[in-house]
Amino acid sequence: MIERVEIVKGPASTLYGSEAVGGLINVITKSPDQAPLLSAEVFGTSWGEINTDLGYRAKFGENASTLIGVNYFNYSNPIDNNGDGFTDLTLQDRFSLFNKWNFKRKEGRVFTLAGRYVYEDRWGGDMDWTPEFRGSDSIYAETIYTSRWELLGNYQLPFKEKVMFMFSANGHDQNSRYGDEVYDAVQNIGFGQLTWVKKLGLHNLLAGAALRYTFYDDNTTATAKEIEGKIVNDASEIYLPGIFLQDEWKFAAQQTLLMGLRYDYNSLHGDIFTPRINYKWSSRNKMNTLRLSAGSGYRVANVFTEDHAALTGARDVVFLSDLNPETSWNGNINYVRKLSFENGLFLNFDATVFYTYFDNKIIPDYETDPNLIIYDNLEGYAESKGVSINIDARYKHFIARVGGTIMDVSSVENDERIRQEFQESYTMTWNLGYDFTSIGMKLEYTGNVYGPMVLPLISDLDPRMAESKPYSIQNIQITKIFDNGLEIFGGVKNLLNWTPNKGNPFIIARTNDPFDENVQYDPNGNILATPDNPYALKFDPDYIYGANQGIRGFVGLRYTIK
Amino acid sequence: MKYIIALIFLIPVLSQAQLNSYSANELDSLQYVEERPVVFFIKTDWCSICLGMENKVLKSEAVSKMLSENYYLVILNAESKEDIVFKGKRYVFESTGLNEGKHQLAMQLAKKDGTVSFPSTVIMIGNDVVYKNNSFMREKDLMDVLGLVLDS
Repeated sequence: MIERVEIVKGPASTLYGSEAVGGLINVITKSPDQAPLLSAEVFGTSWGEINTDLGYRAKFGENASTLIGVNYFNYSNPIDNNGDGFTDLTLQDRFSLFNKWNFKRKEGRVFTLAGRYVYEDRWGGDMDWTPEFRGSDSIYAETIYTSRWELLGNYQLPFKEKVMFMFSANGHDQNSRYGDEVYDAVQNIGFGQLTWVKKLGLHNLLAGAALRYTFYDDNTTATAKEIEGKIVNDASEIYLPGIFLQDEWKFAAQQTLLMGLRYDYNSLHGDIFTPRINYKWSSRNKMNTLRLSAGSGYRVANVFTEDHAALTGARDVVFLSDLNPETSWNGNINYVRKLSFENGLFLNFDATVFYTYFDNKIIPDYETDPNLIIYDNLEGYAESKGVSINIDARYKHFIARVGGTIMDVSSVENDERIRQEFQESYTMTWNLGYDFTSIGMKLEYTGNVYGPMVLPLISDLDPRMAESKPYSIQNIQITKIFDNGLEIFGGVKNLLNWTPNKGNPFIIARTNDPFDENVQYDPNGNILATPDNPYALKFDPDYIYGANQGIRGFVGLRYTIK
Repeated sequence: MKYIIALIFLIPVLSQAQLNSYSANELDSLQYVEERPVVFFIKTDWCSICLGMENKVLKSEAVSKMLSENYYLVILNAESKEDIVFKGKRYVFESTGLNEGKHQLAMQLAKKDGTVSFPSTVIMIGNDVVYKNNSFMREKDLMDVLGLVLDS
C-alpha cells in the first residue's frame, strides 16, 4: 500500500502548516495502478496475536482505478509473566478498511479520493477483569473503544495554471474507562486548501490558502465552563484560516534557497506567523548534499489527547493557568554523502545536527505531588538538541542500515535544568539483511538500543529505578520466496527477552489495590508508609517505559498476484 | 561550526567522463538522421541506487563510449513535469497529489510484470522493446547487454 516514506528533517515547507517545525514524516501511498492486483498476508505469534492484511486493485474502464485494503488484528490471550496480577500487554481487537480512488483526467491532472475507517477495542488491567466490570470500581482495567474515519482527496482545477484543491475530514470518537474514571471524547476536523504552483525563471513559487475547523468535546473540565455557578458543557470549536507564500529560488546551478512565510489566525489564540528558510547545496554529481534550515513553529497542546497519564485516573489533573500555545525556533544542519562503486557497493552517510528552542512548552509535572499531574506554562524555556547519524550500505545481496541519535531534551526553569521524563538520551537502530537469491530466501536482523530515561517515582521510598538502564530489543526474521508469488516468513521478536521488569521489583505500583482503598495519608496529604504499603505508594500504571512483552516467535504467509 | 562547513565544501568532488544524453523529445528527429537503438535510463530524484548507477556505471569510460558511439541514451526522470512527444504521441506528467506524480512515458516504459521500480534500463530498437531491467546493473552486465543488442 505504501510507495515510499519521506522523512523531512527540520522546518518543513510552509505547505505542511505551522506545526511542522521539527520535521515530519510523509507516507506516500501507492497509486492504484501501481499496486499489485491482489496481496494477502496472515501472521500469528506465540502470544496469540493474529494479523491479517488484504489488498485488492480494480480498474473500471480506462480512467478509474481503485485500491481496497482491509486489516484485522486480534490479541485476546491475557498473559501475566511478571506475576503482578495485571495483563503484561494490552489486549486488542482492531479492524480497518482503506479505499483509494484514482481518476485519470486530461493533461495528467489529478483527482484522487481516499477513505479509511478504523474500529478498535482495547483493554489492559486486572487478569480477572471481564467486560461486565467495565467502568466499575471493583476490578480495574483501562478499556478504550475507538472509532475513527477519514476522508481525503486532491482535485486539480481544470485550467492551465496549476491550482490544486486538497481536502480532508476526519472524525475520532473515543469511549474509555480507566477503572471507574470516564473519558469520552469526540474530535471532528475539516480541512480545505488551495495551492497554486508557478515557475517563473529560476523561481518556483507556491501560494496558497487553507482553512481548518476543529471540533472537540469530552466529558472533562477541558470542555466545560461555569455559568452562574453551574458547570455546563462547552465544546471547543477552533477555526484556523491561513495563507502562505513560498519561493524556491535556484539561484545557482547547485544551490537552492527556499523562503516561506505563513500566517494563520487561530480563533482562540490569535495571530500565528511562521517563517521558514532552507538552503540546499548539491555537488555537481549530486553525491554530496548540504541542507541548512531554520524556522519557527507553533502548537496548541491538548493534554487529554496527547498524554495517556492524564487519563488513567490514578492522578488528578490540575491546570495552574490557561495553557498558552507552544512556540518554538528550530535550526537544522544536514549533510548527506553518497558513495557508489562500480562493483555495486553503495554507501550513504547522513548526519544531522538539530536544535529547537521552546519559549513555552507544556510539560506534565508528576514530581510535585504523587496524587496529581500538574500542567502549567513554562516559566523559563525548553530545549531539544542533538546529533543523529545514519549509514546505509548495500552490496550485492547485502543491505545494512545503522543509525544513532544523541539528544538532550530538557527545560530550564529558575536556572534549574530538568531532563524530560521518558526521553532517552540516546538511541541506536540497525537493520541487516541478506538475500540468498539462489535459494529464494531472505534473512533479516533488526535491533534498537535505548539509552537511560528519567522516570517518575511516587515517593522517596519507591524501590523502582529513578533512571532506566540502557536496553535493547532485537529481532530476527527469515523469509522463503516461491516463484508463484507465495512467501512464508517466520522468526523471533525480542530475542534478548527484555521487559521493563528487568531491575525493578515491579513496574505498576500497587496492582493489588488499584482503587487506593488501603492508602493512608498524613494530615498534610502525604502518603504514609504502612505495613500494607511499606513504600508509601499508590496505584500507578504510568511508570512503564518500554513494551512489556518478552520473547516470542512468529510465523506468517504472504501471497501476491501482480 | 564554521570549520565544519568549510570542511564539507573542501571534500573533493571527483570528476567523471562526460555522458552524452538526449532528451526524449529529440529522439524522433535523431532517428530520422541516423537510426540507432535507444537506451532509456529511468530514475527518480529520491532513488539513491539510480544515482549510483548513473555516476558509476553509465559514466564509466567503457559504457559512456559504447553509448555515445552506438546508441541514443535518454535519462528519464520519472517525475519530470515536461511534456514529451515520442513517436508522434504526446506524454505528460500524471499528477497523483500536490508534489506527487509520475511521467506517463517513464511509467509505460518501466512497467515490468505490472509494477515499476527504479532504476529501470529499457532498450528499444525501432518500435520494439528488446530489453528491460528493473534493478541496479553492474558495468560488466550492462556492457554484455549493450554488446548483445548490437550483435542481434
